[in-house]
Amino acid sequence: MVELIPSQGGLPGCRRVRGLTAITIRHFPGDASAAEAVRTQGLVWSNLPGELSGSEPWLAWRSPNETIALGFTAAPIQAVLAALAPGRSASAMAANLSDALAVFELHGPRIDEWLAHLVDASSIPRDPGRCSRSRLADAAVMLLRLQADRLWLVVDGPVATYLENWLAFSHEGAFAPIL
Amino acid sequence: MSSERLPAPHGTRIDRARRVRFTFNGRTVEGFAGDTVASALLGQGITHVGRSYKLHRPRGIFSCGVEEPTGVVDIGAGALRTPNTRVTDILARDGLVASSGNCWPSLEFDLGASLSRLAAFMPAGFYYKTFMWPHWHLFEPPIRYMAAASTAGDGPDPDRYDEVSAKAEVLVVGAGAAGIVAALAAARSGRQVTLLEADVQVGGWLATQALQPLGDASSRLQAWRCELASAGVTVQLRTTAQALYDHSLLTAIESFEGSEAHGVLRERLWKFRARQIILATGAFERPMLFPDNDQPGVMLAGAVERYATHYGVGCGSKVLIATACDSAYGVAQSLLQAGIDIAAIVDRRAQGDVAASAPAGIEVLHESVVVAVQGKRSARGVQVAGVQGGGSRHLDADLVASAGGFTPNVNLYSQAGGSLRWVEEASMFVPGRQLPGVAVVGGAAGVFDLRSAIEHAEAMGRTAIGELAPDAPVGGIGRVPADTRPTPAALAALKGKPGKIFVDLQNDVAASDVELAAREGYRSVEHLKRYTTTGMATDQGKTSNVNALVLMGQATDRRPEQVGTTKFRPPYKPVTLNAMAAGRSGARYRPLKPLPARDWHVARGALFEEFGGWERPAAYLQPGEDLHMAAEREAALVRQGVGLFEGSPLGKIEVYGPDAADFLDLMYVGTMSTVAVGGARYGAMLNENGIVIDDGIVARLGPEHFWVNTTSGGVERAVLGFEEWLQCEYVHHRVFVVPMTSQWGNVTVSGPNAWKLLSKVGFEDALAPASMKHMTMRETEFGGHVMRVLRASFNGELGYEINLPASQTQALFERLWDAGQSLGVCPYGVEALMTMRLEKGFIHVGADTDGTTLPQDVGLARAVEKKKANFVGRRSLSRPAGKDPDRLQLVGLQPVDRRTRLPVGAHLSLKAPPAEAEGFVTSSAYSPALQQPIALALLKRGTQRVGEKLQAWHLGSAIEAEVVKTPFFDPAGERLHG
Repeated sequence: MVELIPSQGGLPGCRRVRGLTAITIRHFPGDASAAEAVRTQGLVWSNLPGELSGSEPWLAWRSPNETIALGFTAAPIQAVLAALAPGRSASAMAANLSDALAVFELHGPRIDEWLAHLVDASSIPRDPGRCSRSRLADAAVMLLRLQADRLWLVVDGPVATYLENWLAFSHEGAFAPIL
Repeated sequence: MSSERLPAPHGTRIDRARRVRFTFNGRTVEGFAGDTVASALLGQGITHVGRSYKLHRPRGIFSCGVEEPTGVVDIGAGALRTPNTRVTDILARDGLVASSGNCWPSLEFDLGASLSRLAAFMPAGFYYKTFMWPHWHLFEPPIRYMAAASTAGDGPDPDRYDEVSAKAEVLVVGAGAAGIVAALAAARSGRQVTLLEADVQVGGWLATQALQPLGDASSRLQAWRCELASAGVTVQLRTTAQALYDHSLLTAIESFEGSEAHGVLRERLWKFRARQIILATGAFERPMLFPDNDQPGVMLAGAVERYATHYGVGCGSKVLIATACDSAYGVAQSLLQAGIDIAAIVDRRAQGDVAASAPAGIEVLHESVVVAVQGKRSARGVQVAGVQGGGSRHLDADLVASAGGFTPNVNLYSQAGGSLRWVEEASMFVPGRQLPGVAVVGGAAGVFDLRSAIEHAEAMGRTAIGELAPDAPVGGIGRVPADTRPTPAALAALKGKPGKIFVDLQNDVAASDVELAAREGYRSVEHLKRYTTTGMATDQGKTSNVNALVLMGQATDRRPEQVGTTKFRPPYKPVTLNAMAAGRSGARYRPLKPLPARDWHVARGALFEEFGGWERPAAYLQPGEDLHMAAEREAALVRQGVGLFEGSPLGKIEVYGPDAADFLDLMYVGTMSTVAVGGARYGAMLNENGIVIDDGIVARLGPEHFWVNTTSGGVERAVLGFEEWLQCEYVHHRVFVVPMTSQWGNVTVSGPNAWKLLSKVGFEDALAPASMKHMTMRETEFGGHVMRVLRASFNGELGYEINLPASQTQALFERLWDAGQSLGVCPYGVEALMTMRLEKGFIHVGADTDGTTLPQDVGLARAVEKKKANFVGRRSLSRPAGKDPDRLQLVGLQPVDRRTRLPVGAHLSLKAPPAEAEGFVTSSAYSPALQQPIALALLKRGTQRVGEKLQAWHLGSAIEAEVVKTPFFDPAGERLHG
């Protein structure tokens, strides 16, 4: 973890999360192989809109036929990747995204207040175990609510620097001492 | 007009214990905390503040709010300058700098005022009929110079802007009486309420006659504040709603200017999503139309009242009220109470149409109109005549207060899709129907009777979404005529030529201009607007639009509702660009993606430029080199030895599924289903019109698994296109489209020694040219990582595109660089690549193609003919335009002198302009391989004109060029094999 904005003075902070393994799991309607591959590894399959299941690693619903699995524990995720490698199932596949994604962790109090300066307020997942997709300036992001005071912001890797700039700028704007 | 400060206690908004000082045109102005720039200027007797746009006529302050058309100045200086800002909309503060625009050398002595003498030659639309001889180019520079009403800031804006999104259950816009009542009712019904107000405090026109039945203004204001607080209503002041979009998205700008927070934040863009929106945006006063109604000394009556009651400023000491509306009588009462003398009330209406009573002792002239205002930069008196004619009469007055009715502020309602209806009695447009989720109350709904407005607002506040809402009790201002101009008989009574009757004060649009537009056939309200420019100034027609369309109706025998209104568009009032950008500047302007191996390129002296959203090395400059020299050197070295290039931005999509092959056949010219596993094929992607939109190589990783490369800038478009086809058209195709560009880095090794280098570092022999054919892809393991190696080439040399986990890209570059020193390895950038691909005649989609280019235009006709299966765009290729022999076709060009580079964009023709061009240059470079400039061009019947000589025209000069075949270099393609 690389601390970008420390959480202090009753304000939220932000850090860059590193060392994650991430995959995308794609599945057609009616497919059972994806859920089976996931459960075989002891993970919690989620296929309900906006659901973030599990706890290290996590599974985040992204669309009716896409779920993202990510976490620090590589083995089970890689096992799912292998089980769903193209050619193994006619109705599902998985692909490695470990190098494709950048993840930022917003932590501390008043996260939602900060996020309102970045994304549409309606898209903020307020409760732990929820996730959503949104637009942050000109970047597509996923928001994963891990805990009340811990949220992951997932974005395409090459726009990480762009996100860092926005996080710093919006933190200032959200918590500037305006009288 | 002699404006001055009234004694205390007049002025509910100002704090006389706190003085503020600012400058206006270099002159110090003193006011009080709470003053606007307008009230401070008027309080100091400054009534001439600007010049009109076209004729540079003197202009004063006309209103007391956002609708101000003439009190427009520049605020700030240097980088902090905000041009063309309404003085009524800016709080006075210490150190503020205000200056008049559109005048030179000074406001008082403006050379532009001489244009007034030419007014007869400058009616509406005159510029469409003039400035043509001998050539319009002659007039363009001075017109551009004069057309600028002011100048923008001259440096980067140092202020900070912000953006925030919020949700509201009920969002009330406008905290006047109706808005507050609606908000309280909604809150007491158990809902969360946010109340927006553009002003610095709630209450609206509380201190005016219209709201006097509510009691003492200060007490009422305090009571409301307490009620709003205890009801839990979130009140946001200094926040102006700008736009109401679909799905109940409302944007607003919160201003901190002039407040103590200004040093931290200047403006904040709010984006509200509300379940229910209640618009309580009030109404604008409509001015009377009479001759000389544009000069300083003529103001809206309600504004005059508010300056007296809210700011303690008497805009005149002897006020004549010109009216056609009952509201004027309350204004008269209010002014008398402030100690201001009333010269008379001149009411255009017959006595029987007047429901209000004049204050005792005030002369009321019924069925009378103002036919002249005397004075140039201030009023000295007026001439009044009866509407039936007869004679005219002089009245002394230093201010004319104009009250011609009201125009409900329906801007946001209309943006939300609401239609308007005309109310004949009151001559105003009001909301015509109820919109789901949007309610309108108070003056905005056309409800001007105070009790009715309060009752209606309370009922609307209680009404939840889906419930039947009560209709608005429109009315309460009495009978108001639509056309308030003096009658011809009244004008004749003047016994002299009357002055112009202005409709739009900022753009100098007169009633005669509206009549001219009607005579010339510009009858539609949208044409009226654009032909005369009425409503097109910074005030957006808030006080002029209704008068203009009424006059158009009169000129064309139509009722106002038949003329209609122009389309209301955001923003509601002018907005600083940075408020909308809300931080999108510098590094936050848009994503600029760095390469995975950026540090490696930096260490080698890369000159970075932006290509398709990525920051990429254009070239690696060595001492003494410019970009072109570096690119030529790199291209030459690659062709002689081996070069390293980062192709990570190249679009990569994995396509998998039982129908993947069939799907790709649909998406491409080129049959992908017949590619063997491990093979690869070039394909062009067309849109439904057959236009080439992208190209790339498709490799087959497995029976149902494909690796799709697209252009670097086109991958997102391609993914969206694939998904749209799958979700909307080919819905039964079982295919996954997985964008993988960021997951995979790309190290391209290219040149005659490419394999030597790879072999040297330890890549397996199965990748050697003898074993691995051109246009094949193999998966291999190297350095503990799985890599997908594609033998392909965009520059005509033996090439390997090594796709590997993005995080490993830099490490591989370093390894290859170290090992390649003995082989003369060099890095090469995008410019060198473009030079080499040009030598081979390979197209670059977007550079060598445009929105009309079909595959047969760029040499892909055979691919289309060979393909039996259907593909997107196929049908469109058989349209007559696709078979036109005169189509532009891609060809090679070289300068006849073999020295002069052909500029990209140069027009090709046999004869000099203005002869029609027959094509244009699309790509151009100096070829190190051929030691001469070369180019590609799209040329009419190009492929049939090889050998022909023609002219390439650029900025008035011609370069002789010859049409040649491509490729320019290695036509047999032998170098591909090393």
